[in-house]
Amino acid sequence: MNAPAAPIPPSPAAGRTWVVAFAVLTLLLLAAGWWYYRSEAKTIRAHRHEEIAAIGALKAGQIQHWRQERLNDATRMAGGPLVRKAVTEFLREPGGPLRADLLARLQIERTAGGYADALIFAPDGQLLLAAQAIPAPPDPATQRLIAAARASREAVLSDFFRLADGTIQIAAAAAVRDTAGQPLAVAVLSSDATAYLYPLIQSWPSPSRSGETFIVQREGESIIFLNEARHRAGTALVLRQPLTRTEIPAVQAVLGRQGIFEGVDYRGQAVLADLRPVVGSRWFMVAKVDQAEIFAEVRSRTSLIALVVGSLILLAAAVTAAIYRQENAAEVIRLNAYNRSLIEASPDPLVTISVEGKITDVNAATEQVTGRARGELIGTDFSNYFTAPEQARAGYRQVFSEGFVRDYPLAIRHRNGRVTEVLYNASVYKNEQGRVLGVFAAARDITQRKQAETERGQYFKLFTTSNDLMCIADPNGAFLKTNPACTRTLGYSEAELVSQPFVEFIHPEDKQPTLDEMARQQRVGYSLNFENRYRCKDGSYRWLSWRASFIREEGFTYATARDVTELKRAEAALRRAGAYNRSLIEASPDPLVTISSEGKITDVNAALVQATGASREQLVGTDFSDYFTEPDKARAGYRQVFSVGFVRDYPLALRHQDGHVTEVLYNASVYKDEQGQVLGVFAAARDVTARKQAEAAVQRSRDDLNRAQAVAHIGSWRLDVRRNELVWSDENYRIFGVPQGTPLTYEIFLGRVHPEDREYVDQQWKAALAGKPYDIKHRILVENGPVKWVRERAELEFDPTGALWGGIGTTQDITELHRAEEAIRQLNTGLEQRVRERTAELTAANQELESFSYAVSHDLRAPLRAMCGFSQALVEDFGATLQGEARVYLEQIIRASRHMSELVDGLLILSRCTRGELRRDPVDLSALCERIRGELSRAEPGRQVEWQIQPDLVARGDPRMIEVVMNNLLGNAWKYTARQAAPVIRVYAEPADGRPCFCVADNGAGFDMKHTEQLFKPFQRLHRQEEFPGTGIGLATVQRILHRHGGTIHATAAVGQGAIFKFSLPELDTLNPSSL
Amino acid sequence: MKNAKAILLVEDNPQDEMLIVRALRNINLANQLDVARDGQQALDYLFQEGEFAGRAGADLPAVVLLDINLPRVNGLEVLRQLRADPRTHLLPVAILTSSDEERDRLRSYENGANSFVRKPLEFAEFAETVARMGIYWLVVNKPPTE
Repeated sequence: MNAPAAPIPPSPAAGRTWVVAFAVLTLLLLAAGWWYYRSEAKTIRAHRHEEIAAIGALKAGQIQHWRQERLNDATRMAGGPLVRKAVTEFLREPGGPLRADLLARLQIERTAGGYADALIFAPDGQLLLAAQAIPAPPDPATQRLIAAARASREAVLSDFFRLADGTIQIAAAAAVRDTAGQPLAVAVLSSDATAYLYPLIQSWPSPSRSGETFIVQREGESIIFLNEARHRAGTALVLRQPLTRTEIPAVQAVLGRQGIFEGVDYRGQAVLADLRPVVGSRWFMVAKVDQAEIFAEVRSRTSLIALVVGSLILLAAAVTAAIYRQENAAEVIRLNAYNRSLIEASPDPLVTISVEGKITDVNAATEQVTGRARGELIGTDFSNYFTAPEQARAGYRQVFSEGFVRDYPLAIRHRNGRVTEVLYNASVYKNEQGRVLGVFAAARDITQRKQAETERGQYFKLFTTSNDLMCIADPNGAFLKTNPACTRTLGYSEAELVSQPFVEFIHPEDKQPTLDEMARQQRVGYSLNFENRYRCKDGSYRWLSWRASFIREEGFTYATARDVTELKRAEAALRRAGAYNRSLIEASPDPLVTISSEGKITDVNAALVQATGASREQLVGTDFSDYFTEPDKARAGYRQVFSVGFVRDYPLALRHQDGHVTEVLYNASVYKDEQGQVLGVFAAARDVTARKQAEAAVQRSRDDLNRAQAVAHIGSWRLDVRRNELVWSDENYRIFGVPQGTPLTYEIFLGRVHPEDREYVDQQWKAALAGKPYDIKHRILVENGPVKWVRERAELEFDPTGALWGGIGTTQDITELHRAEEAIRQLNTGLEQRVRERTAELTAANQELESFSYAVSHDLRAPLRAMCGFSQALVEDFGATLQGEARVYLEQIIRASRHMSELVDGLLILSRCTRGELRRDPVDLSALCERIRGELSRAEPGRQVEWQIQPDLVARGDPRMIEVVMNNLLGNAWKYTARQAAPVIRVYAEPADGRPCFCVADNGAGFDMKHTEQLFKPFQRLHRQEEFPGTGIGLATVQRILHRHGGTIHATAAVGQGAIFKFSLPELDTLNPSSL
Repeated sequence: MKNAKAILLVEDNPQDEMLIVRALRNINLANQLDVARDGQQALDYLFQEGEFAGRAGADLPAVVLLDINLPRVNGLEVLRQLRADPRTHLLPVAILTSSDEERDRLRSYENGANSFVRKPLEFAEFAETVARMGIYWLVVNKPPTE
């Protein structure tokens, strides 16, 4: 008996799951509690950090503010001219009226500022005045403060100091100074620290048992507490801690630590402290709170969290126990109901039989198969319901005797007579004591199975014997089952066919169509006459035509196929033959046509369509003769075919619709049916237009060649060396002056060569035949004409076997060219001579110029020096006796000779810059400018000019000439900024047009840009002498130097706004001089 | 001329000569000045030949102020000859000239000039230059002892 597999029913094992769940939950709760405790502790600490940091910041700020107020008060009291005046007066007359005024002022300062006392000391520390009637004698701390105030321009604050009476004070002091800054007196304001400052430091703005703030400062190798500690009395200025005790927050503060610090305070308590310096002082602020106070808070939170977690664990335990109990009770009920429903749901008839053979229980399937209700069946004989009751009885007896039966065949009779063949499986069942209570029997209905087996056998026979291919394909596209026809047709075994998806057997070209068809088939449910190719085992392909049904519910395809390969092959052969013939006709470049006996066109090819411009449809059915320039001749032509059977090369001209004419030659013959009956004419035309055009083109190019040769005076020739046959072109005949058509040989040609060149030409030609290039010039003799020069060139020619055939060459008439070359050669010879002469002249002129300059420099200067020198000697030696105007005249002579001297110098520099060798050295332009700047400043020390010289400028050129350039440009900048209030001269590099340029810029007088052209001309000036003196040669020299270097210079300027001179030197760069 | 501390001025321009004399006179050095008016005369003076043959045995001047552009024998040639002669090859020679040509300066030093001074145009400057040179060569400079 095949009982359906039961799902695993719930079992006591589920109880264990609940225990595990409880344990996990408990762990989670404990973990959550721990995590919460940690985060709470962290939050509390962070909160306290923030709190003490805030308090520290607040206190430090307040103390700083308090200090500043003291200093401000001291400054105010000592500062100002009125105080100075009053103190001066008082010092002059200590008993004078101002004593009372100053005293009143001190009283006001003391009471208004809440000071312990307000005092004035002499700079040496002697007390002059005090607000308090009986001032204490000045103690050492006050004396130190007075000395500090005397030395400082600003108010100063003392350290804390303890007076004799035990009070702790701090004082601010500032010096009263006379107009020269010498101290006249020192004003001092002393405060009682306990009155305001200590309470300010100590107060803790939030309720805290241990919170404490104090200030400390460093003294030597220890720190000192400056105020009273909260937790210990008498610490101010007394309690010290060595710097080595770095666990103490105050020590850390003095050592420079800032922010939160955890350490041990002076009592040995663990504390959390905020450290920060008091800005503007040596003091450090410590705000701290005991760690114990923070932990107290954390501890109270901890017990709360522990309580909550404990409660939750208890709750979870209770819930788990309750659920577990309830689950167990429900289980038993559920199991019973489940068993019964299994029995009822069984499709097999089940029955229990008592020892006496009576039915004790049945299921629904039994009711169905017998057609009787459960009530009817129970208590009746089991054997009554079978076709063979004896066999049924024997069956259950066998159960009682052997304990079971297996597949015991019986047939149950329905109330309506229908018989159900079944196989029985049965066994005894017993109570707890092992006593047999009855038989439990289960029957399996095998009626349908038997029928199906019969049908299956028939179908299988059909399947295996069919000549058509039959198969079943699964949803994955693989064969599930194939019939013997498949293996027969394709040559594979069934195992091979089902081993892989069937598309693998399909011709690559058919794969996609097959997949498409399968998709369609799955959509519509069937395929009809779908054809594709399958690869057979031997590698050949078979065409199969398919019919298939797709069963959607199964996902299977049932298909039959017929091998249509032979059919296909036959069809294809037929199609190919027709297409081949037609494509031959269509591919023909010749217009082809068939004509009926009436002269009507019956068919045409593409070439005719093209030649006439009419479409195939237009042509077919019309008169053949209509498409020719001479219709009658065309008609005569095809009539001749009908009468004679053919025509050959019958010339006609086809007219295109657009008017152009194609000349053709027609070949035509009649064609007949099988009975020999003439059906029509087949006519093929050959387009001879192209041939005719080609002939014309050849003629044209021959003409062109002849004309070209005549124009170029180049003739051509061929020499067949084997037959000694020389052929000349028309032009060649003309060049040699030989009548056209004269038969020629190599010897005849040689005879025309100038006798002096004949041997040379013969040698060269023979060398050419041996492979040397042939390109020679020689003379020829022309009858009744002058000697001509020709240039001959040739290439050798070989026949297809590689044997030398001869040469082909050109003859160029170069008589004119030769004459021109001769003339040029003579001219060149003369020219070289002239160049030599001119060079010598130029050298002489240069030398002359040089000695002239030299003479100028010496000889022109000497008389000038005499004029100038003696005029000055005159003024010097006889100045006293010279009448008024005589002196003026002498000065004019001196001035004129000076100007002339400058002109001479300028001219010399200018001429020097145009001759001599040009060197190309790196020049440190920045250093040069600095040097010139020094020279200019020394010459006129009174002038204040701001120079901005860009460092590391390097130019490449002749150092002396570049010095002249910079001397002029900087000298001009210096000169033209003379009237400027704040003159600025700048030297810098700047790219212009992609090239680096140097600039000299000033903010001086400038000039009008419309005069720019004159700027660089010698002796042209843009300013009058009395405005700005000068020679007008400087910029001309600058430009000439830069041009000699291949550079340029441009100026931009505006009147009253200065000028910029920008110049370039080729190859120049701004490299560092050290890298050069 | 008996005085060993004398200056020999070689100058062909009488105006320059006057100005130089005046400048040296102003610092009381004029009476220690001898003047040669061309190169040949200067050579004769120094080598005690020709018209100066009578000077045989006389001391050499402390310094020669030598112009370049001179008649007969020019200054550079004078210098060359002085340096070539063992008697005068250490004689201090200062070139005093109108020229500021680079090549003159170069050739002067190449030929062994001790100094090269351009005659300034300014009278005062000229006088001061001459005076300074006189004082330098006569008073300050310590020549080598042979």
